[in-house]
Amino acid sequence: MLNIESVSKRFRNGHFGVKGFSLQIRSGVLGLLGPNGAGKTTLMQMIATITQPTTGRIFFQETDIQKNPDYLRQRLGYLPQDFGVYENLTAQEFLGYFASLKGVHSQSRVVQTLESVNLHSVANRLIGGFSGGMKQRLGIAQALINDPELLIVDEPTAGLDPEERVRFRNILSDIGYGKLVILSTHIVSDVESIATEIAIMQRGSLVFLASPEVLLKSAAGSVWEAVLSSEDFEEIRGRWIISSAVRRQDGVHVRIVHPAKPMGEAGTAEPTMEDAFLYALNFQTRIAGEVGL
Amino acid sequence: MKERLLRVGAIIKAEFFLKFRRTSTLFTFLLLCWLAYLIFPDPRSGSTLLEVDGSRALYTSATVALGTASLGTLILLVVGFYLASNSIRRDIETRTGQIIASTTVHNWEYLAGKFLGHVVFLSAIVVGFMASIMGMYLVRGEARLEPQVFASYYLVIAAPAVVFVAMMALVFEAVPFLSGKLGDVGYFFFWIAMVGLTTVGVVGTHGAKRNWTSYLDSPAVAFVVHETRQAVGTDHFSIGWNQFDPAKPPIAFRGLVFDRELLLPRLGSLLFPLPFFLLALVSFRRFDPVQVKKSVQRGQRSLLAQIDIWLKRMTAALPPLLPSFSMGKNPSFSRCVLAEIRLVLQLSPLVPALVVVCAIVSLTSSQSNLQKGILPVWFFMLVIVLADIATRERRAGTLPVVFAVPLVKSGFVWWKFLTALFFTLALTLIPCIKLLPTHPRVAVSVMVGSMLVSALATSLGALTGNPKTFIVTFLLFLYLVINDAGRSAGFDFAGWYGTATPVVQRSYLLFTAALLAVTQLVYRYWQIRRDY
Repeated sequence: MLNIESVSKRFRNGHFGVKGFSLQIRSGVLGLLGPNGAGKTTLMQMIATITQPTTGRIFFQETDIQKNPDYLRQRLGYLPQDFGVYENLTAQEFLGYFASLKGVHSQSRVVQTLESVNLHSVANRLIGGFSGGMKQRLGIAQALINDPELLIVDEPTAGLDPEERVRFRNILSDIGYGKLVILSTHIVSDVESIATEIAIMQRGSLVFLASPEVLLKSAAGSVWEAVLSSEDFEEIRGRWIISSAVRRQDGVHVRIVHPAKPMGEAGTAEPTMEDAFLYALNFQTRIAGEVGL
Repeated sequence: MKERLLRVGAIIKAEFFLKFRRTSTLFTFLLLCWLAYLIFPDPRSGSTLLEVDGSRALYTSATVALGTASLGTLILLVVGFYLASNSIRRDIETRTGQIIASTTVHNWEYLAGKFLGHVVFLSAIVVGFMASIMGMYLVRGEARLEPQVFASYYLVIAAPAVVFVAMMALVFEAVPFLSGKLGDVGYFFFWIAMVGLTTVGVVGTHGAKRNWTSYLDSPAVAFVVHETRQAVGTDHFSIGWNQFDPAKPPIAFRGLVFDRELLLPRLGSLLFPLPFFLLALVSFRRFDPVQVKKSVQRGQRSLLAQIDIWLKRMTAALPPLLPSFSMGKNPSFSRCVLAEIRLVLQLSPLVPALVVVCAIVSLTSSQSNLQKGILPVWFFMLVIVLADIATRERRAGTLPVVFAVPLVKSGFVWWKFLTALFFTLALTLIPCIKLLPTHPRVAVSVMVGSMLVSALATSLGALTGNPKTFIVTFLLFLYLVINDAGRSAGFDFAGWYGTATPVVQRSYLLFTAALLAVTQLVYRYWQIRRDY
């Protein structure tokens, strides 16, 4: 479905936003993980035909999207990062506007999409009075209005409360079978329940691509738990990669991500997605070797 | 093709609703109603709309339509630009532009939709203005109301201006170096040049024939002057709020003759802005984030921005010197004001450079040059210097942060006013001191004018959160002041012509105080509403 061949994006200052990125993916949900500045947004903007790659090619359903961008655009739904709205329009007008731009002229489709994101009851209210979560749901509604075959959502849960985040994840996981959803985030829990594939980016490059199960497996035996005194904890901070630290009555319960046992009193622990993500980011060469990248 | 036209239609519709539902549009309509009352005076007051050789023209539909359409068009050319612009910028800021870029909408469709959206919106404003004038006509008219006369006059006079403003609003946004505050101020001078060029070209002929500039006459000033001259058979007439001789009998204005000679130049003026669309199309970057950044960088390569960057480097050493007077253990309002002044200096090092240059010029100029030539220039410069001061926090979203500072929340308006006044006086204090010994009344006026411009920048900025409100209001006012050239004491707000009387000075001072008080009250009301 989507084939990215050695794509790079070089900015005027000489820095690479994305460097030699290659990926082939069929339908499903691709969780694109990476720290801030990893190049996720630039990659997504290139796939969405908003900006051109400096080198490399992107194919969607065997069509070169640089040569024929309209082929992809007809089949694309896109929600950019930090999405804003026209506050003086009602939800229905706003969605109707983007429906028209995408060649959808059915009013019932607008109503149906508003229902799918649970905004039908406020369809005639000005968006200016909406909460952040409602605005974001309206954003996903405009991305879904043309029933896209490729849906790209860039950091959609940033700034949302936990309830809205769960609701947003449910909307994405309900999107029909046979479509490709690319979801970029730096919040690991956003992708762990819905992603069928996970790609981890760092400094513009792909450092890991596999299913969540493989990602978890890759970190097995490299996550350690220990209970430390506050003084010991302060001493080891910065020395090890700590994925969590919880203060309890008996001391600080820490989880350390490292290939080798970091200290005598540490025992192995079952890796979480967060642990596996940190492991992939910090020990990328080792993992890349393991998965054959 | 039908699909493309439907998309253009959707953009027009969205653009119209977005603009029409803004508070500023309501404000504009209220302003138009007030203007309708103002520019269409009751003859019993001794003033009239069209005066010919001392006689007043009877208030027929033709007289009123010609007079109000021409004056309204002049205002529309300035106000309309600022009301229509900012729509591409909005799509960049909300990132909806990126969504549009990811659809099959072509650049020409998007820009055509924006342009036609401006046209529809501005036309609605013109129709609203015409309707309020017709309402006034029912009160003050002296013949039967003929709506078709109003419609035809407004069409030939205002329609080319609507197209021109809509196109310029688009071009000034699409072309990188024309967008932004410099472009906002630049358009004003472009407008003056445009009015000047067409007026000189047509009016200067003193004959019945028109020359080629009549085909570029979007402001319609030259057209109206030419046609009125043809209709009344003399050069001695004036349109607007004019005194007339009550002893002379009123005359009947015969109106325009809609023949080929009249319609062709108007059609030319209507079509003349259209080729500028190509310029917008070539400059438009389809929201490519890299290209948009490049455009911003290109904008930063402008001379003004380059000087700013260069000065920023030079003044990098300045901030460490400033905390000594702007910070202290105990919070105080004066320290807050000093901190704000410091921030303005850091944000735009061009300002202190400007102050130094102005000081040198003021010190070395003769009193006469200072009063009539240099002070007006300083006030024009203040438009750029002051526009951002009261709007910065709302635009950057830092208002809640600023409100957390002790004393600032309750005294926001005074905080901004004192900062604005500081920078105003930085430009006007030396001229004021120089003029004081020989022209004390002028010096007082300069001080009053300084207070007024600072209050206006603060009030309009704080109330609307948009620097353009101050820019357009104050530039329009300056245009009126310069055109009046001291003939009316009431317009001499800053003593440039030395005609302001103590009553005028007191009135401006009173207005300044009232403006600040109202703004403070509104701000407090907003805060209370937000807090509870």
